[in-house]
Formats: sequence, structure tokens, C-alpha cells
Amino acid sequence: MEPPLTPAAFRALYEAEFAYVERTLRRLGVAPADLEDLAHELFVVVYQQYARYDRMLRLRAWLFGIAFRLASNYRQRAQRREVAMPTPEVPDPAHLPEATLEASQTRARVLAVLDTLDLEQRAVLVLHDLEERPAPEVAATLQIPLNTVYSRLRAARQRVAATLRRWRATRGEL
Amino acid sequence: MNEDFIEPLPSDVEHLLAVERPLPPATPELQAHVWSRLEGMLGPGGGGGGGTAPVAGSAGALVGALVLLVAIGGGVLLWASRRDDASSREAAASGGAHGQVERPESLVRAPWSPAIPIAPARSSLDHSGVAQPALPSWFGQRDVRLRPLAGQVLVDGRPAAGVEVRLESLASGADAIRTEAVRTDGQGRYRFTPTAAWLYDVSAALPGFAGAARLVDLRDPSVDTERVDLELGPCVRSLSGTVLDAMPVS
Repeated sequence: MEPPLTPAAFRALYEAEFAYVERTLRRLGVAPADLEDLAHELFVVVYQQYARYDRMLRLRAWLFGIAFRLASNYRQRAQRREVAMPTPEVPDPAHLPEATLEASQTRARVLAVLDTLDLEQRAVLVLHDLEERPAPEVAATLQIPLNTVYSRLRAARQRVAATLRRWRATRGEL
Repeated sequence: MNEDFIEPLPSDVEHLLAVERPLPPATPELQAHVWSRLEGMLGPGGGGGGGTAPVAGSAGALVGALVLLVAIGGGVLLWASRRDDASSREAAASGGAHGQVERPESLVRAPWSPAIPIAPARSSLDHSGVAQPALPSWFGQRDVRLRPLAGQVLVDGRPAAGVEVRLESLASGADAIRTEAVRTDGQGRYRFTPTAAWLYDVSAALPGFAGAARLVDLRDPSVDTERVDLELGPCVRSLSGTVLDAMPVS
């Protein structure tokens, strides 16, 4: 078993990986207002569980796995409480300015597309198509069979493509 | 199996996702806020100070501090040892108590020892109706005192005895923080000992009844943490279906 993190090492990990954690939580559907709480809880888990971290996984794969479990609990809590989750905010292209194509707004559109997926499909799409991790690593990160990665990825892509088609239809594009 | 099983992304999807691939920088305020909460976990001086100063500088400062501590510690221990000997001689001569020297703890303890146990998460259940504190105080928001959490579990308006009540946070679900659980007493009452100020799910479950759960934010001073009551409901749902993909039983 690995030794626990020293405060200095924990600080270094925090500085190096905070941006990744923040973005991963957003990509997994955590609302901006809840990011602080969930990021805090995630790093608590990191500090507590570091000695048990399987070094066969990349650090970011391990962090993603934690973020995924927290996001899953977060969604269950929201459903149980009937608290409004970040709704699938598919922007109405008819009311968007031309500047929509700019990067920041396009990023917002990506998150909006991701909001149309369930968490399991979403996690696979984020790992494979955004982080560009190979399917076996996605399977190891999420602790699911490889074939499940393929099926979820296929379903997620179909849904994303359908959403884009709907957007284009709204704008009157071919 | 390999990546050949995966088709290339459609061009429009690829065009959209490509923008999101580069990792944007962290939100500085958010990073600082979360770190300020985490500092309590590391103990005094943990992590090389507050803010978001570069780690390399913190590491250098830490090495320097350790060298200084060793030098000072050696001197103090030598002085204390001689003083102990002198005190012993004086005490022996006077017939009084042995002299004690209080040494600064930082000089006799390892430079860092974990402020929290690095033990596997586990669930604890106290059937007396009172749980032992499990969540370390640093888990809560800083400068907010521990608060008790108590209430009553009811069924049809009547107290429900022997019902399991669980106290969980999101980190409990991630297997990092112990889940606390107690059972209600004869009056349906439960109580968790003072608990770190944080956001918790409190839930009660009893076979044959629909469970009840409440989200309780102990950081909110307006929350009455002594009256977190839970009402179990009747089970009115059933589950049925047809198995479509199986061999018939002959």
C-alpha cells in the first residue's frame, strides 16, 4: 500500500489537477452553483483514499472515477429531493447572436448537448470523445465491460447527432 | 477488441466537440475557496500556506523550516535534558516531585503526521440510538461549530421504533467518509452526536414502508437541527413486467 499524501504533495496535486476536476464536474452535469461543494468533497476523497489508489490507472482516470461517483450521488440526491437539476438547456438558435460560434459559447453548447444524455452515456462520451482516452481505459475508469463502453458510446453519439440535427432544423439549415 | 470497433465521429459532432477538448483554466476564485476549506484538513501549516502560491516555493520553504526545526529542536532537547537532570537532582535532594519540562510538541513529533485516520471507510451502527462522531470536524465549513442532529420518525403520525436512520454526504456515497446510522428508540426518536457543519442526507427506512429522506444543511444557522422529523409512507407501488429475452421453461 502506498503511503498517504503529505500536505505538500496534496497541495501539488491540488494545484495541478483543480482545473481538470472543475471541468470534469461540469462535463458530468454538476451545476455551477454546486461546483464548490462537489470539488471540496472530491478532494476530501482524494486525500482520504490516496493510499488505496490503484497506480495502474492514470491519476486523472482515478479522479474521473471519483467525480463520476460523486456526480451520480449528486443526481440521485436531486431526483430524490425533486431539486431542479441543470435542465437540458438547449439554446434556441433563433435567438442566438452570430457570436455563438465563438469558443466560449460553443463550449456552453457542448455542455448543453451533454445535458441531453444520461450520466452513464455522458461519462463514456466525455472520456472517449473529449478526453480522447482509449476504450479499454474508459472501461477501467468506469469499471464497466468493454462492450458496454462501445454500446454507450454509440448511443451517446446518436443522441448528440440527433440534437444537432434538431438545432439545425430549428435554424432552417439543411 | 480495439478502437477499430469505434467509427469516426460524424463531422458535425467532431466540429462541436473539438472546441471543448482543450482544458480551460480553473476559475481562480473557486480554486481559492475550495482550498481554504481543505486547509483545515491538513492541520496547522499544512500544505505550505494559504492562497494559491506556487508549490515549488512552498516545498523550498518546507525544507528550510525542517532544517531550522531540527537545529532548534536539538538545542532545546539538549537544554531540556540537562535541565531534567538538574531538576532530578534538585528533586532528589529536596524529596519533592520530579521536575517536568514541557517541550513544544512540534519539536518532538514527526514534521507531519496525518490529521485524520487513513482508514478504509465503513459504516457504524449504534443500536442504542446514538451514533459516535465519525465525520472529522474539518469536513465541515470552517468556523462553524459542530451541531447535533435529532428528530423523530413517524408512521401514520405515530412514532416508529427500531427504524434505521442514516446520515450521509456525497462523499459517503463515494466510500470516503463513514456513513452514520442509528436506530430510533421506543418513541421513534433518533439522535446523532454533534456533527460537522455540512450538507447531509438524512433518511429512514423500514421494510414494508416507503422510505423518507430530507436534505439538511447544518451550515445554515436557521435550520432547527433538533427537529428533523421523517414520515414513512405506505408502500403503494408494485413492480411487474415481462421477460422477453429468455428461454421458455419447459
